[in-house]
Amino acid sequence: MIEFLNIRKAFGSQVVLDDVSLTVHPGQIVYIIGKSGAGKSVLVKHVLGLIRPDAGIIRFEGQDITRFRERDFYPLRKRCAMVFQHSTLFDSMTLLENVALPIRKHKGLSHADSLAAAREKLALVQMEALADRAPADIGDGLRKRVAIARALTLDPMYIVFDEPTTGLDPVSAVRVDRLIRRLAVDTGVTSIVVSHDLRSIFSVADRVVFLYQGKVHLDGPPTAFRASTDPVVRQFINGLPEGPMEL
Amino acid sequence: MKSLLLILRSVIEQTREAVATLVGTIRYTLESPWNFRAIGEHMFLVGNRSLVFVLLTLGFLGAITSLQAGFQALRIIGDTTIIGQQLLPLLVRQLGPTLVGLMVATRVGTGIAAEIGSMVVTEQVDALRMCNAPPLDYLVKPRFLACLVMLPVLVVFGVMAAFLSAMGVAALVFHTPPRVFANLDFVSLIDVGEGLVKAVAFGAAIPVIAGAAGLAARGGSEGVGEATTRAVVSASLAVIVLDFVIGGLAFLVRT
Amino acid sequence: MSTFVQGLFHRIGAWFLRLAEVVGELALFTGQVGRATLRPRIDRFELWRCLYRVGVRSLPIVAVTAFFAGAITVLQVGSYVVKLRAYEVVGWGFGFSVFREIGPLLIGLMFSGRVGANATAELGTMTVTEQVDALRTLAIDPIDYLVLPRILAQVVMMTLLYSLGCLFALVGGVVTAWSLIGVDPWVFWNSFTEYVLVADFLNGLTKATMFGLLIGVVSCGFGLSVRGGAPGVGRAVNACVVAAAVGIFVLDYFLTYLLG
Repeated sequence: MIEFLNIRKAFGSQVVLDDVSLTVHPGQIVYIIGKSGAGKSVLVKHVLGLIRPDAGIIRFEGQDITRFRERDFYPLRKRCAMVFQHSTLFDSMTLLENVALPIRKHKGLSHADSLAAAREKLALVQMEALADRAPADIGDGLRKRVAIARALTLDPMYIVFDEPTTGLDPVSAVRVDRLIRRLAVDTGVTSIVVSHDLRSIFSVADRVVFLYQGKVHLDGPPTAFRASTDPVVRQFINGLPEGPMEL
Repeated sequence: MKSLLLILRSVIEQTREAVATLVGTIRYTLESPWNFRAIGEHMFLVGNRSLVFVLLTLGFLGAITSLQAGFQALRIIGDTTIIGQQLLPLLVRQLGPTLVGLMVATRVGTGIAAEIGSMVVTEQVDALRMCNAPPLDYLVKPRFLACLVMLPVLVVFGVMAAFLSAMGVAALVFHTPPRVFANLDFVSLIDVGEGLVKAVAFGAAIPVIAGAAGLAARGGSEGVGEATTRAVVSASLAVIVLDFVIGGLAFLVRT
Repeated sequence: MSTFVQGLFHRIGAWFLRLAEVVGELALFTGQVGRATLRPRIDRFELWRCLYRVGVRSLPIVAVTAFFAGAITVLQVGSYVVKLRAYEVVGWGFGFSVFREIGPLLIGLMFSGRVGANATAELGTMTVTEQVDALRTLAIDPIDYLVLPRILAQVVMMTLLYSLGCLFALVGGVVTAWSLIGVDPWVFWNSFTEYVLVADFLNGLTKATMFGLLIGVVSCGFGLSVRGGAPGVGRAVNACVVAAAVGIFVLDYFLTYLLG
């Protein structure tokens, strides 16, 4: 369980998160949505300690992590993985080595054994055949799958996805959605997904949290989101240029 | 052995590129109008902005050489009074120009390559070509002229800084009176000439090489990083080689 | 007070603040590195990879630089030698200049340009593309994994390259002495071995090692603190070589004073 209590975060004079409270329960697939710059990525990066709140409390499985130092986050990061928006694979290694790195570092396996274990993880995302390629040589969609494989190497209980389908062609996007759904069903992992992809939201999410002007504007199942009569939500869902949301 | 050949080929390739850039820049210098505002701006960037850096490094260099010369003098002849008169010609014709050249190659060379390189990878240079402003004319030429002028100026300041600091160290550490130290007898016209020719040569080589490296940048931040690295290395190497060539010529003139 | 004077003070103040920021960040980084070396958890693969790449990358350039450093030194010593007709002294003059000063200095500056700038560019690109953040989310400490191997590789390589460089400088010196001044290689070699001490070589070696450490720390420090995309990387490389150059000179002065 992850709890955000009254989180506030500003960058300079720009307040991005203003009193955000949210609880993520184990096993859920929670979508954090909102327009660009609404603070979605900022919020989820707090979980892994990449960003620290100006005010408020964050609890990870009951433990207060608000005052954690960088070192303290290491055990947490083995239980909670992150898939970055641009996949962020390591350019200097092959796809296989990318996935093998955390295995070698944290599971005490030898170089050869960790490569073998990495191959298995790549097979989970159907990328085994391209294991020896470099990240720069393959397309965005495929890189995303490898990034997910790498995130799965330490068998995390929680995964954060930062805009997993943004910039992908429709076919790759659906593939990623299916993968997220399958992981939740097969392993019971808790997923926090940052997105503004409506199709993903309505096909994968258990719960939708809509951020607007630094606060939680709506928090409920996708059906409630779709049925909402709130003008801001309507503007977002229908992609209307005119409405209460400034552009 | 194969890697040696590859290196040789890359050196030849880079030299060819540099010479081509130089020729192109000189042609534009002679043929097309000068943008005095841009030249002035770059003279400020090269000269004023590098001044503190040059004074600092050359100051320390002067102190270091004074220390070394003093230690050796004490060891061999037991007397430090001749350091000044021997050191100054060396500073004027060799240490001054070369070290200033290397410092400018690092500071200004990376700056030029980074600037031009960023413009290349963000497609601004393509946009310039569309507007009929050839990069060599618009980007490299002002920097070239600025460095030609500023480098001798910086060398003069650098030599002064080194000498003053050497004098100070000699006075403080070896108790050599400044008046004994500041002996200009041994500085010949050829020494001064050698130093100035080197300064001008460096002033020509550095912006051309750095500009060429910048224009050859490809591929985002990685490409810019690569271009800046290549600029500083090639420019530094050029300084050292030119130093040897001009020094050799000066040596032959003297004898 | 006139606005010009006010403006001047303002600019000096702003300059100092910026300098303090940079120095402070670098100092904090050095502290982090220092703490990491107390409980070293160096990744062996990364270390080998860095050693290989640093060596391969810098050997040619250092060889050439050292050769010319030897040549240039002989030219300068040569003018005295010809004037005083003291041909036997060439080897000695060459030896102590190159070993104690010109060798470490020029090799250090070239190394900083070739390897230091490269490290800053690499780490800078990784920072800008969030690869460093990705490492942190995998619970891998960037200092242990990226920085320590690079610094160690640079220290080791500088020491090795200085030693090799002395040989190349010797070749350059002998060739120049022979062709331009007419000093017989044997005469050169004799005066070299007679007057140049092992202490001179060790003196230079110490300097070279310390320069390697300096360049390592500075280059990695600037690399990891890059902000602002491709131009930011270029700026960081610029800052790195400038800081390394100043650092080399300052360090050289203090080492010369201390090692005598």
